Order: sequence, then C-alpha cells, then structure tokens
Amino acid sequence: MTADSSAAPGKVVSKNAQIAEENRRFFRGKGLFVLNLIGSPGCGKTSLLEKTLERVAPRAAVVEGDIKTTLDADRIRRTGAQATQIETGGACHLDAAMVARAIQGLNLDAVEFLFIENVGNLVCPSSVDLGEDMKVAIISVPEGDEKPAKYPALFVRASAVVINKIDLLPYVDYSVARAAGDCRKLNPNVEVFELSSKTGAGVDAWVSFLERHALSARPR
Amino acid sequence: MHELGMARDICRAVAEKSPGRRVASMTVEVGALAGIAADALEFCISEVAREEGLGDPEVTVKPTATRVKCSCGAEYSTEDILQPCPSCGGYQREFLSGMDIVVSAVELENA
Repeated sequence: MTADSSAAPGKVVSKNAQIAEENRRFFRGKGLFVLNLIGSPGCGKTSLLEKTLERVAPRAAVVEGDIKTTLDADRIRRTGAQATQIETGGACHLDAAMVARAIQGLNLDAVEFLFIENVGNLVCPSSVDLGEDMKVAIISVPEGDEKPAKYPALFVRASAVVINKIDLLPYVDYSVARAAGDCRKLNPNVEVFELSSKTGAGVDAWVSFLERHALSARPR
Repeated sequence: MHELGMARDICRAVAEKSPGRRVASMTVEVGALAGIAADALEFCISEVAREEGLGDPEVTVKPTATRVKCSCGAEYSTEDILQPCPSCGGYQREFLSGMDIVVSAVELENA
C-alpha cells in the first residue's frame, strides 16, 4: 500500500456545480437577474410571485419546480408572464441540468428577471446551485419563528429573506425580531423583507430591491 | 439527500487523479453546512467505489467544524454557528468553510 498524498483530489467539484456554472455564464450573457426561491410547501412562494409579477410580468420569466402538476405554471401564466413547469416526479429539489433544459422553452430576449421557484423544501434545495445570482428564502408567519435557527444551511446562503403572511401576526405567536435576528446572525449582509402577499404590505420595498439588482445585472 | 450523487462525484475525482488504480482507503471531510449525512455518504462511497472498479476501500467520512472569520480579526472553529464570536460577541463575520466536500487523504493499493 502506498500512502500518496498527491492522490487526494481535495475539494470536490460536483457535476451539478459544473452545469450550474454553465447556466450562470449563459444568464450573465443575457443580462438576466436570476433568483432561486426556496421555502416550505405552503409558505406562499407562488403567491409572492403573482404579487411581484403584477409589477414586472412583461419583463419576467418563471421556472416552476414541483414534484407533480402544472398548477403553479398555470397560475403564473395568468399574470401574463412566461412560465415553464418542471415536474421532478419525486425529486425533492431542482438541479442545474433540469433548469438548463427548462429554459429552452422560454424566450429570454426581452426578459430581465428569471424567477426559479424551487420544490417546496427548506433542506435539499439549499446546497444545490442552479446558476442563480441569489437565493431567496421565503418563510411565513404560521410556520413559526425558529425556522432560520433550525435550517442554517439555507440561511447562510440566502442573500434575501422574505417573511411572508405578516397579516397573520395578530393571530399567531411569532416574533419577527427573533426570526430576522437569527437570519442576520447567519448572514450579516442579508436583506429581510416583512411582507404580505395578501394585503400587499412590504411589496414596494421587495420590488425596488429586485429592480436595483436587475439594473446592475444588465450588460453595459 | 444527495449522498449517492456526491459519492459518484467523489469517486470520479479520485479516479481522475489515479486512473486505473485500486484504492485502499480514503478520507472525506464534510462541512456541517454541506447538507450531507456522513454515514449515508460513507455507505454510498463504498458501493460506488466497488461498482466503478476502485476496489473495496476503507472509507472514513468526517464531519468538520465550521471555520469562521470575524470582522474583529478573530478566526475560530465552531459547531454552533448561531453562537456569537467568542472574542467580540458580534456577528459581523464570514464562514470560511462548512459548505465544502474535501477528499483529504487517499491510499492506493500497489499497482
């Protein structure tokens, strides 16, 4: 037996990470601002998108990820935005190759925002790069305020966090200060948005954040 | 949840370094934020290594603590990243490791 330190490859670059880099180069070339939206089932990812698309639908495209059905892509198309659905058939997260195939069905020429709605799950999507510019974590008031502390792998990677359904705060024991505080412990540069897709509260700040980033993603 | 895919990536990386060689042992370090279960990864690497002709290596997967660099200048390792910097008590910091999978040692069988 030979103990050969040169035989150890060191940091492993996954096949997925390579495809994600190809996606990222393609997105940069198009001047797209690409978001990977991650949250639990029922946290309001699609409702947040509908609310957002009221402002930016003609300039946006959406990739919807679900285990089954095209219900979400159908909802998104009703806003006037382009949408394509990935049905993973059981997989708990999207991967870069699925996204690369899905965007072939979209016309991205006049698009500034590409939203990728991941499969509802706070765990697996966190560590799978799709080639996005940023991950956005979406958490909602009825889920409880300890989600950032319980799922740190997502919140260290999320550049923005949306605390959704704040219209329910009067009815639920939920400390926005605790949830937002834990987000900032895990990522001191995170942007936190308190929002209700139902009432529209907080949507202005969220959309201006998106517009700022889309502007800097554009080729000059 | 992605241990099998990760095991294939790891075995591919090892095989590319030493084409055609059988592996006696390998050590893999997994960051606490990588989203990988150590015992599941160990099992998957053993299975994939056999399937890919790398032999029947003794596989050790070690979870590693997260390295943190604080804006106060302190650098430290932690098991609990929700705890503040032990030097200044603050949270203005960056994580230097924790998300990576590193094959840190490989022992080859004699060719």
